[in-house]
Amino acid sequence: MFRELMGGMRITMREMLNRPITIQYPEEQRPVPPRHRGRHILHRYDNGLEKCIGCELCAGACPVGCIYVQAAENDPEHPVSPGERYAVRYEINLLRCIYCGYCAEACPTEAITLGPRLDLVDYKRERLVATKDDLLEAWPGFQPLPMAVAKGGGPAASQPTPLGAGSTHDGPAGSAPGLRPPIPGRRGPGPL
Amino acid sequence: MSDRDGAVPAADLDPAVVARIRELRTLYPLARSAVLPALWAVQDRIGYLPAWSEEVVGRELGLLPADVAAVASFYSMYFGRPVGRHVIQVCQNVSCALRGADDLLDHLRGWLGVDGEGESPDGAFSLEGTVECLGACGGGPMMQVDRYSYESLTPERAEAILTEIRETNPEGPVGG
Amino acid sequence: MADTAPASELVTLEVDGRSVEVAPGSLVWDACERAGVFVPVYCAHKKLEPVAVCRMCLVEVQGMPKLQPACATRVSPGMVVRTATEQVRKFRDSNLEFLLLNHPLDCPVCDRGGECDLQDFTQRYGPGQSRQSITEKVHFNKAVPLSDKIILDQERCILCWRCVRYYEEITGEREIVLQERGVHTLVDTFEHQPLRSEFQGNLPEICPVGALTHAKYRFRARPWDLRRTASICSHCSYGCSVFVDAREDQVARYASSDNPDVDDSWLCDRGRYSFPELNRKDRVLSPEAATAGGRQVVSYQDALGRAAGQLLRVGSDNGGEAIGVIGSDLMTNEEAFLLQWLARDIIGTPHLGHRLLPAPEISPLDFELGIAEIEECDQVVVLGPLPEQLAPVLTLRLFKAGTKRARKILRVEAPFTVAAIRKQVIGEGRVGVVAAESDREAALKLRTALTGAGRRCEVLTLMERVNSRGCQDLGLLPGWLPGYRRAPSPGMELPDILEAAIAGRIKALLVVNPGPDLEADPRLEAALKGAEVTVVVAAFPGVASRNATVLLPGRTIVEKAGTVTNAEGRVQRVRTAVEPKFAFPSDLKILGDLARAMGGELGAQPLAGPVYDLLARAVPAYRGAQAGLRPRWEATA
Repeated sequence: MFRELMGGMRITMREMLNRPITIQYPEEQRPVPPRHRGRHILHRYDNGLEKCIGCELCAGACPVGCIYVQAAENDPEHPVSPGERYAVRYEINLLRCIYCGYCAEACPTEAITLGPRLDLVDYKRERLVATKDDLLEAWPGFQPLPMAVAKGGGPAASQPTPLGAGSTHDGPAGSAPGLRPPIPGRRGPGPL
Repeated sequence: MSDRDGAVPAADLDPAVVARIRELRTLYPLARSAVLPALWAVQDRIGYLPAWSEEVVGRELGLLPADVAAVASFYSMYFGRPVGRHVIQVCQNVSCALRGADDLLDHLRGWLGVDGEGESPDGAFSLEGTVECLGACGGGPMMQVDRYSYESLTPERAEAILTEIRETNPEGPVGG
Repeated sequence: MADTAPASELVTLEVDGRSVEVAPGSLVWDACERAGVFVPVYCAHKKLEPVAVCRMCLVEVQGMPKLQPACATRVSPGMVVRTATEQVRKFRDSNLEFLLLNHPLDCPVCDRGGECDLQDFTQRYGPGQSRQSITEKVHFNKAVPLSDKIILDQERCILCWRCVRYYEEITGEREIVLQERGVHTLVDTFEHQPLRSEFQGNLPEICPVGALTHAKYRFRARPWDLRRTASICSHCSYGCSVFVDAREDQVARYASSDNPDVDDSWLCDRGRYSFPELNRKDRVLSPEAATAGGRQVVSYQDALGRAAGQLLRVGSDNGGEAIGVIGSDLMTNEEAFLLQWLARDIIGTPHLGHRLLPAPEISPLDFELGIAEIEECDQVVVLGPLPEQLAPVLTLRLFKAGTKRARKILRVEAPFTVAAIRKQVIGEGRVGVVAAESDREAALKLRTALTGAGRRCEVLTLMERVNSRGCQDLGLLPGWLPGYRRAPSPGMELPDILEAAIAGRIKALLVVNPGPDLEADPRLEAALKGAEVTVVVAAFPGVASRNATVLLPGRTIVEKAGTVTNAEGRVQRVRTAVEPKFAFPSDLKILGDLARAMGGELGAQPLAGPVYDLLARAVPAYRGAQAGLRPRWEATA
């Protein structure tokens, strides 16, 4: 019995000299593995056009049916995405999502990927239905909420680029309005 | 026939041609059979087939203009836009291609001063680029100028033929 | 056709080892279908003549050196057909690779993606990959509007000729042709003129790929979003079968559903594209009542109590005759039956109606001729352009009778004098007369004259709206009880009810499902203002809902279940395709609840089925007819 006690104490004594492994979340955050499947991101091409063409294959592939897409026809003068079709509404119910990544696999244009964000909490269920405004990256490479990413993975967090005059955000691309005011007192520009 | 002129002339068809179409109609049991010769009659007169002429042919034969347009656009011998005084077509199918049809075509383009296909600067010739087999596989490479075929061509021979046509028939198509 | 031929005349052949018997002259394709063997086709279509241009259906026939097109080869006794051989498999694979050579492969943005034969057959029989690089494809124009209804994607077309043949064989309008040749071949109209046909909406449905698409359905939904419900087109009294394809609470499109007795699988554009009206956002969403403090939203029970109380008060003060009941021909048979029951037995008024055009003399014999029977008549007399304006699909049936069945179609102009028409009707056989309701008398006179001359002659009268016939059969009329029995004491016709309300003789109005023609009538507003009590059940806001003292939310035809009766008398089911945006009871239950609140009992459940059983008891002809049959009125009339 004494032996066991000593063995236990040895571990205790050894770990006492080490630095604590707990971190001050959310002020400090751990790096996320590069293939982490967190909240989805809708990507843009380098010229700012959305990659999403509103084809709904993600919604078709989704095993829990948490994705809703409503497509519309592009105005050739002010296209939102290349080609004829774009998603005028794109919503994901993050509470129902199981983060399986089938949507990313089904996507023919690599418009949707699962990103590093994992702190998906809120006080209201409705706010956890992510709209297109939440999901869409503002500019290629830009992430609204810079997160530490493990070395070698994911796009590097860069300075947010303000949307220019030729912004593709103008026009009818907005998603359901007024669903989610930002929650004060949290880091980052938005709740998600 | 997508690049045909949009302006539709108000002028109607020559009464003689209309009379000819009516006569053609009586020669066949089915009106549709008379479409080809009727289109020939129109093209011989106008030089090409403007959209309004297809409407006239359709009206005279009791067909819809769409039916006439379908036939006219199917055949390479009918032109939907104005062409030069003489039309050159160079066969591009296997027999001719094996015996140098591509080189002949390139040479003619250079000699006529035509980029790709179209009218030569002097308006004497229209090069209708590539056509499918014109049925002279035994004597490739061949070209058809208006309604005559010339076989076993070399660039030099083709030049000579075209020069002669230009000088002897300055007005319009040969043959027919 | 195989079923009707006597057994001795059938041809026996073998398909994939299975012996099948089909009628002589059948196609190998039909025989394969009979044997339960699926043969992929693009150009072949059950309603069109074979052309065998797509080469997709080639099968092996013993004794023939090359593969034969199943869609164009006639059967012969002892034929041995094989569809599952290596040669057929290889051919299908190569044929699909060929069809896909210049196909843009833009399935993700194609409206047809998910219900496309090219996709499906490529999955099943096609090559896994193409040897042609996607960058080498020949491109054509995308999204070419052929009209304001139809959009053509020239790249996706596989040149199956179906649209060209549809215009040649079904409508006879021949608007689309194939132009140019070889790889440049294009489906097009003459000089890019827009399509003018009234039946363009069928083009995207016969197109086996995504080349022809509906402008109104463009990018609205993917097929897997849609919930399909078999129902009836709500636009006219012809009663075409449709599939209502709904996405969430919106109707995304109407698709045709082949009913050979009525529509023969074709819809008119007017009916097919009528669905946006049903998606209107402005709806009556909650019960409302005019109170001392102005108009308020009230609970359903409260509204019902107020409605019953007000109607009862007027009834006890002035008698039941001071109440007018107005239905409409947008109601189902069940609702119409309950409404006339409510009016006659519980409210106790003879003043009820559903149509502004009075119908003093009506009879089921006005509708003797069936729609499909038009093809059986040796001569069909169409009185003026009105029947075809009321029911455009009738034009296609007349064209079919005229071309495929070589019947004589006689379109006569007004005035319809019997003597003049009589002269044009020649020969011996059966005569059909097709007339609009307003020309009913001329049609009946013509029938009398022709029957007197020893001809068999029947009349088909076309009416205004989806259930005009049903409301009439079920006695939602002042002069007629259900089943064309004369009312003992006829009440006022609908226009007179309105006039009486304006004059103050009618003190209360019950308006259910007001139709557009009633809403447009200037007398309605004055009548509603003149009456003390106006109980309205309406789906859409309008004159009626604005002037109601009690308003209850009604349903549109795609939100209801029940039956409707088309012009030829066929009783067909309508089913709930979308749920309404409110949680209040159906129109049927509202009528039942209102009766109960007034101290009566309509003896019916809130479901359409039991109500149908009740109405079939009152109208014996309707018994057992709810599955799309035509009641036999001869026995009862």
